[in-house]
Amino acid sequence: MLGVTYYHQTIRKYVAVFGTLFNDLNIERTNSSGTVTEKIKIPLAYGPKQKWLLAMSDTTASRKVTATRSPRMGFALTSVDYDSVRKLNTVGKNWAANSSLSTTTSLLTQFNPVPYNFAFDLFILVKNAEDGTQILEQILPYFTPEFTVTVNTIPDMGIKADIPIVLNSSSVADEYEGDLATRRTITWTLSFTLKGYIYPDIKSSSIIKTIEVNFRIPATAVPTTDLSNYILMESGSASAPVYIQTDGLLIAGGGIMFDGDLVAGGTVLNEDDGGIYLDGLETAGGRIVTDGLAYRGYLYTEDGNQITAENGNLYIGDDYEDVIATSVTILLEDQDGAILTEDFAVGSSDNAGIILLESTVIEIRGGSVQLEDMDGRIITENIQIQTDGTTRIINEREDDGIADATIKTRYTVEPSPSTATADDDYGFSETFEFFQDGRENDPATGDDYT
Amino acid sequence: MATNHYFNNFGADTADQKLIENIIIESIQTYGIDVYYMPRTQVNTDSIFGEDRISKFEDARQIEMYIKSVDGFEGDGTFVSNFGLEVRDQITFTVSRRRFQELQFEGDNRDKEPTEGDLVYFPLTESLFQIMHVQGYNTFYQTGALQTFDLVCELFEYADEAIDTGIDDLDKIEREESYTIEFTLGSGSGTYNVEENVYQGTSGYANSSIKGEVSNWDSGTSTLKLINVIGTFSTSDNIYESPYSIQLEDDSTLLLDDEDISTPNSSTEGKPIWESTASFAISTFDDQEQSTDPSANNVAIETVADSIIDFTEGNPFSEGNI
Repeated sequence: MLGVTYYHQTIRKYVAVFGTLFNDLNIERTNSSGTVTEKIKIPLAYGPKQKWLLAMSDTTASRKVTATRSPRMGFALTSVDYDSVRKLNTVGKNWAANSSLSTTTSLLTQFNPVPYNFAFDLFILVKNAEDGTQILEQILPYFTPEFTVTVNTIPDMGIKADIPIVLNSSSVADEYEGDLATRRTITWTLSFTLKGYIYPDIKSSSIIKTIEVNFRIPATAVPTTDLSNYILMESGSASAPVYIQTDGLLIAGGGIMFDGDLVAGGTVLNEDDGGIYLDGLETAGGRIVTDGLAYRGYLYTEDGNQITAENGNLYIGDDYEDVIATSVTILLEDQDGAILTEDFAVGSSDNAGIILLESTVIEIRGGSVQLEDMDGRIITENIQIQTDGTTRIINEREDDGIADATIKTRYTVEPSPSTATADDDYGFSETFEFFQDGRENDPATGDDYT
Repeated sequence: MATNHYFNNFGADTADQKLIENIIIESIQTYGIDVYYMPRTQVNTDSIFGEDRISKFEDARQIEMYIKSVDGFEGDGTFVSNFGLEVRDQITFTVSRRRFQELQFEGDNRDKEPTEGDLVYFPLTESLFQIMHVQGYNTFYQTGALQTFDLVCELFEYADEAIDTGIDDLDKIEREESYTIEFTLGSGSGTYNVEENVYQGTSGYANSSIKGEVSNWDSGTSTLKLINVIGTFSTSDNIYESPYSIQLEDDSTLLLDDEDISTPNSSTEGKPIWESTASFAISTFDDQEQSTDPSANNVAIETVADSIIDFTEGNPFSEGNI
């Protein structure tokens, strides 16, 4: 269950940190006039060791020269106890970029460490009592009663822990009593508590560098009654919107109608105002009606030619000659009678004109569509397309199945620059792309295909 | 009731007593071993703590002793403590009272009997034993007199005491056991000699606060080992040899321990010519590295700790202004 192999060497680090507090202590010996006659660095070693390792440091002959050398110090880790007072949130985590890689491709996480008290004993062996007191006086003032050291406990995670080392007690064992043949030994023992932590394993996961959000239109069959009727092109005044109405609800098909008196349903009420009316209802194929519901309507070209639309046919000329409009240019005039030579603009400046769609589409090949507000100004700001009653834009056949649903647009966020490494400052680039017809996305692989 | 005066067993300096003593001395000289007896010289005795931290051994005289503990070393032997390897061998020597007195050590009662705290150099194992207990009555008034001392000794716990006896076998113990700083030297000239004093600074050895004693000089590797160090050596200054040698006009050499350039200074003695002394720049050294103490881990511990301890936030509260 716990078989995750890792080792931070945390306890070994604590041992070294504790030891290095005392590895540069000196004593000085003076003569009767107070002049220093000798300065001695106190040897220090971690006490528990392999006996053979100790033994091999000296030959059997050389170790017989003297018993030992003093003063010297040793220290040992004596116990490790859980410290419930310093408990951290069990589910808390530390996060860090994986700085070991040249380019950061992963994120490191680690649960909160567990607090433990490490008991250390420092032993000071001296032959002269004043050697001991001199050493002691160089140690005790630093502990009040704690001395705090900042330790790079987990470098991979950038964790630097402030580790208090508390001096608990000092005692001396001076075996000066006994017969003359027994050696007098003076050993100071200082007991410390190192308030450290034990750290769990580090987990690595990929960092989020790119976000792709695919927008799709749900293919679920939508009841006819839920189809939206309007695409609103909102102007500066929300109360007087300019809008395009798609009307597939009341009559099959659709049309384009310039009429300021439209009511829901796409019916032209003020027929005398004239307009372009493609009506697939009355006759198959639809036609252009210039006089409302009149049987015959006329359009006039700029040079005075007459275009007559009748029974779904388009005639050019004075008579109803069957001139097939193979290449017809439809020129639109503005309210003043001037021919529009600019980009084809759809809209209404007085909230009177509409484009009526009935069972057909507006297809714009080349050029551009400009929207004007109610005052006739071309809208250059962002345009909000608002649906009526629902929050969706339905541009998919309502009978499409789920499997036919495709991604229509994609929003992509990427870091910039892409070579950023841990701790670098970097931003993001955003891309909004539209899917062309026939382009699909495989959600399993994340790849696009056509 | 007095003792029988026909048997004068407790007289002073009787023929019987001399005979026994001579036989004992001859026996020790036959079956014993030559050791060096090293009396301790007190330098600065602390009357409060009752100790002398800088006592030293400046004299050593050879004398034969009988090894009373014939089965080998006694005591606790070799064991591991919190401080590493310790050897607590004990040995008991027997020395003739008369032969010891013939050594004629100076000082209160020094010429009469051995003293606890003195050392015995045991040449077979090249060991220094400290006399823990002088037992003068183990052979209790044989023929009315005491002929021997039994010296209960234990291996010496060395605490950087000076050993300057003039006998190299003994003096080298100080050089090999004392706290030693090893210097790797750079450019310079001259030769350092063992037991010479060296120093740093411009005011001469006597006035310098940075001193040491040469325990080893390897000119091939430019490695200098110093013991009895005072002060803190710096790589910014050379290590100068002391005393200076003075080459006189008559080609004789005069050594001045105190560097007193005023003597000789008369016209009759000739003007001194200062010889160039050994002087080398320090390349590297680490005063925590104790080359004579294989158990010391000061450097290893610090090396590991330096890579762990974070020194970047030494004083996070003052922004370096305090």
